[in-house]
Amino acid sequence: MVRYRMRGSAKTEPQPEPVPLSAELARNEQWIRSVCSSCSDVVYRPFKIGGRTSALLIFVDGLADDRGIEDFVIAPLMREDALEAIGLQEMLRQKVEASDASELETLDECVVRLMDGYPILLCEGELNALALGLAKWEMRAVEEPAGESAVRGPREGFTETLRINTSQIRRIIRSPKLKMDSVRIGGYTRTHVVVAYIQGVADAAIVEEVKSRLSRIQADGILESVYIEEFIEDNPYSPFPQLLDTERPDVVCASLLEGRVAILTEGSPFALVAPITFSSLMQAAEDYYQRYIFSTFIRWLRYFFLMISLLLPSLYVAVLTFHQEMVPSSLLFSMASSREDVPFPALVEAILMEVSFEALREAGLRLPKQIGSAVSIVGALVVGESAVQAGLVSAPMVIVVALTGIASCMIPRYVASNSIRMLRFPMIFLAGTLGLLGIMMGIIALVLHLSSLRSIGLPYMASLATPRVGEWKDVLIRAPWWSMTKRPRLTGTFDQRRLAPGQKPSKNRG
Amino acid sequence: MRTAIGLAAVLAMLAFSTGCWDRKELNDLALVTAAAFDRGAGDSVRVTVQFFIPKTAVTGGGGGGGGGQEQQTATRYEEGENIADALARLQMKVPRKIFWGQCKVFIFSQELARSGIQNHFDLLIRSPQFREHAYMFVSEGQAAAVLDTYPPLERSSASVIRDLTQLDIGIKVTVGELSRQFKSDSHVQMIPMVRILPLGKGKRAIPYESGTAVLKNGRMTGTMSEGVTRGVMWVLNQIREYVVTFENEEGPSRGRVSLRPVKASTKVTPRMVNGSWQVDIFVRTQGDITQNETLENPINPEVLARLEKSFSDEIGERIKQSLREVQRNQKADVVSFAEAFHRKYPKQWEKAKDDWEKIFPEIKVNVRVAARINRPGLVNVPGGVPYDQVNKE
Repeated sequence: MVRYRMRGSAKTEPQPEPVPLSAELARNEQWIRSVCSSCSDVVYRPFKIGGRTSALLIFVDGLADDRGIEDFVIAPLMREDALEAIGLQEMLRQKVEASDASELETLDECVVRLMDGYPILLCEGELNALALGLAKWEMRAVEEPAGESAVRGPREGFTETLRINTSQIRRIIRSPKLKMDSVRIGGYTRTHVVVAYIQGVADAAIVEEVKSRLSRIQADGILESVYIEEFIEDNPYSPFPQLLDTERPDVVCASLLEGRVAILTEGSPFALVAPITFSSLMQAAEDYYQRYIFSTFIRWLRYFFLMISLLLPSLYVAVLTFHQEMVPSSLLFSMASSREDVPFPALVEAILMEVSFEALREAGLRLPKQIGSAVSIVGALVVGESAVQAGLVSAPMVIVVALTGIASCMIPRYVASNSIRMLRFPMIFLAGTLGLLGIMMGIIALVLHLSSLRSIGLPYMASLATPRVGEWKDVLIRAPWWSMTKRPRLTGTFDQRRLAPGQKPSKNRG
Repeated sequence: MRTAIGLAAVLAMLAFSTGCWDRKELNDLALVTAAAFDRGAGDSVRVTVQFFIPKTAVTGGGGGGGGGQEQQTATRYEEGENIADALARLQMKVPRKIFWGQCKVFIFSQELARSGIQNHFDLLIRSPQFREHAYMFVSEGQAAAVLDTYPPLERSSASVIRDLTQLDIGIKVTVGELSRQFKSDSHVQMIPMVRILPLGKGKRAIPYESGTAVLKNGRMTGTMSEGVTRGVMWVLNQIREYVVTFENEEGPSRGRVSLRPVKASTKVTPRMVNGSWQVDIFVRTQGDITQNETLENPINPEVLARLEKSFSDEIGERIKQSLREVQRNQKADVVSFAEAFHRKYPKQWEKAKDDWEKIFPEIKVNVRVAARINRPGLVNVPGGVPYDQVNKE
């Protein structure tokens, strides 16, 4: 591991004294032109208000609504003739047909708003400029989230546009108690980051903690929510994600209703949810949208396959190299027969197969879709069939690797399944060198690590480690909705009851 | 962070510097399925070991030669001063490390057993490489001959005897169980005997379990037939699933009736009556009719009572016969009466324990059987007999 020291990236855009707007339009224009030199996408559109007062509209091409500018700003103003009667200020207020028009007093402000996409209106003789709410750019339509699909449940996913994402949340939680505090992070990108929470449900201390951690970030750019995640997580060396990322508005809303805090980032369809526990990573959105009995079954299956995904190859290696007496005779004899021609030790065989599986997975993921299928066919043929026939690997090993691969896909959170998949390799090494003893050591180390982990201050294993039966209603089982009367207990005190008790339906209740 | 790196480095070094001291790759092991101990030349002992051959089990290619199955096991033998010595010599002849973790059958030859197995047994119970749950046998002839059979149905002759033992028909004795028997008050051990059952023409033969070897202090003194063994098993409360066939002696229609599965629980109560040693044996047993050769209708309560009487008489007689054999001829306390007396009359036992061999044959045994027939089976009246011939009362 190399000690990584951030160099230079903490340097932010230089911020000199703000320059006030001048009454001379030409001077203002010259200042802005000098700041935005070589910005070919900045458009300057001079015109005359009422045919007399010269004015200048500046906007970024592609970020502003051209049609709206022509129809609602320039056209009405050029036609204007009562300028002298009511004065420029009042005239602008009356005639500019934009939903949002804020007055700016400094040139720096003008540039900032310009870069956000707002057209800036400057007038001769005016000490104020107008930023018009006519920003509009091409954006992706709302689509089904690719990473978290559900058979039953909403099909909407977040997009790269922050405002669409916040509107999706607001459409689900229609309450003024839903707060969305906005922060700007990144010296050059000045990325909008929104901290969403429900006042009175989320612990104020957690909200404060999240905000203060966000405010500490000094970086030149934030391109994805992962940037933020890595800056604010509690243990940067842990392989486990300490914040949940999701592209589903319904997941974010469910988390908000549980008293968690969501962090939305402009340009990223992934919202971050904090604080989370380990069990949050094992819950899929659809658990809550299908019958609770089945969801409980699936959850147990998930925990079981989580163990398989982590341990199966290492158990196989350990038993085959150290504990042959543990295997039932006939099973050991058939394993011995299939391994007879394999030239590698079980450890090498397992590492070989697992690495090639990971390579296949990565190759299939990264390649263009058209080639991806070819890769998987070749991979399946080469690794699965030929390797066994050539006697390079044994058939049981292929089964183990395949089962492990399937098991890792059972973990509903992609990021969590990545960390489990990665931990498999040290486990295999431990198994190959120390046998079951090594595996046990690995598990103990892992449990110790998980227990010491925190997510925004909340213990990671909180719901599993506390002997509070109520907390397990959403961990080991998915209790029916009418019985989940309380929110999960995070830190602090707040409105705990989420629904009225005694709502269990029955045929006697009519 | 620095400590983390240091720790990781240490762990990595640990992992690679050991050379994985305990590691034994499956390809480098000779999997032993069974071991046989015979008497060698002079005072030596001959150890024969049956290995599993992994190559032949590969079912690849398809088609195959068609003619006859390949042998999946091979045997090797070596003589030595004792078993440990012989095994050390044997390892020199086997290119792979001999692995005992899967060996579940140990066979002593009768010859060796008669001269005593206590000294050999010590290795099996002391060395950690042997399974404590491996089954022990005494072979009628050469023990090695049992391993040299190649059964048609099972993978190896070892698995044949093991599977037969697990059917609970005769007694089963593991290494651990035998160790307990050595420590028992009666100083008597029982080990099941194996014989070789030739399967007609050709060389195919399988070993099977038949009768029991009786050992006193590790030295074989006699054998018990299967019938006597079962009688002993009734007393030892080891009857699990069993078929009992008895003659219906009472009532108008004679004939045999078979019951299965017969279950039993036995209670042995030792008593001292005026200085004489007595044992009460109370057997509670029950079973379902599987075959009825009489013309009786077992659904009739009176008939059923008669059948139950015959059933209980039969069981009582079997137990008494076996005890007679054990007490008079073998003079070996295989039924663990010694333990029962030791528990109930520790003081008297303490005085009498040296004379136990003399006391045991003189013990008066009272056998009481409470037998019950639970179900008459799928039909009530005898199958294959017209209704008018069925005995109606």
